[in-house]
Amino acid sequence: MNKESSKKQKYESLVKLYHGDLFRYAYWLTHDKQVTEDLVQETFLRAWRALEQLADINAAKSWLITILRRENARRFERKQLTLVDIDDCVVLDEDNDIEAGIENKVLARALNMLSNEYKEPLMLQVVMGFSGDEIAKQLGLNKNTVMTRLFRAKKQMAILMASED
Amino acid sequence: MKIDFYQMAISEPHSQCPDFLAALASDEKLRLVQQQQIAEEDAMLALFDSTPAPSQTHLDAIAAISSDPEKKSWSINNYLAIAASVLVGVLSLNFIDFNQEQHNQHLANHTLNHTSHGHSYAGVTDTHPSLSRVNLQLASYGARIDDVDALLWNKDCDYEGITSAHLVYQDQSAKINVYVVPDSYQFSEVEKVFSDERYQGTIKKVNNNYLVIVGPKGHDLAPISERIDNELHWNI
Repeated sequence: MNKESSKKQKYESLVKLYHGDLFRYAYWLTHDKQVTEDLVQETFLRAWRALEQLADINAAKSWLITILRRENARRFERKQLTLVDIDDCVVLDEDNDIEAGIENKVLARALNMLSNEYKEPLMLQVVMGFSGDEIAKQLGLNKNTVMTRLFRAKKQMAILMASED
Repeated sequence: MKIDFYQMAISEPHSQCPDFLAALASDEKLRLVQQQQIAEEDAMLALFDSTPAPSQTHLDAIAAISSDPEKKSWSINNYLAIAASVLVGVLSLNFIDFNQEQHNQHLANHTLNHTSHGHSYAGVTDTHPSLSRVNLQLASYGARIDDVDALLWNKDCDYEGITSAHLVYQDQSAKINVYVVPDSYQFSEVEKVFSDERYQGTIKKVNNNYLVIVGPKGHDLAPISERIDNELHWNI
């Protein structure tokens, strides 16, 4: 197998294995399907270009998430401030694409009320299946901080959900 | 010390730390906290699974990156514009007899790829279609179905150059993918039984179609195959 077809095969396995998780993660970061698609597409494009740098295929998930988080941060750097009418804003739980039950709506609302410092480690744990050590590495925090944030995130979720009952 | 394990049961309930596992074994209350937390995370995971399905344009763009990466830095809107131009071109050339060399020639591989590709959303979102919606779809394949009780999802797919009816059934805890593929696609290989590391399946020729059933490896496909045989009628 030549170098190019081996690279292609590696890329295709990454897409097969991680596209779904990356898409879900990006969607819950951005709350916008179009932005999610652009973000995930850009992530895979950058991954393809830098695939030679991925020496250990077992590290692929963290590597892809790092690219995606960086791309998401760039999005905010590029973003121009625009004013919109409040009536034009779509609240996530009213999105027609999400045909979830009442429980899901309550969960979604609680999740979206969390600040990013709590939401992101929680999503990395639940959606991506990362361990505390992996989340710490990904976010550049020490493990104790991550554990504390996860604990508080879950406590806050429980309180927010109870207040909806 | 014990309070740390209670925190751990919430912050990292799946932790494999030996001390935590030992504490779980000896403390029933701790085990209950851990199990409750795991249940809450499962509910959260189900919420994440309700993420909208990606568009076909997006999936095609991702798949095409390894063929022509420069094009893929464009946004979806660029693709829509290109797609519109291509459509106009195709419509203006509709007398040309295109052969179908572009599609995947290996039916089993095609359905395995299709199943992996749809794993994150087929049967997860937009579920439980009505009988009339499914029969409207199947009519173009000369088929109709009696019952949608076990049917989770349906879509007309265009994947790897092949248009097929894609149905997802719930069979016990497994999701079973069923494809109706017209035999007008000339496949060089059609294996009756096939598998890869994750899935296994069967192919049967029915009238002018191939009926392909794909399930997780190790899952007994016989009962669902029998059910589909009974519920799906051809030649309408």
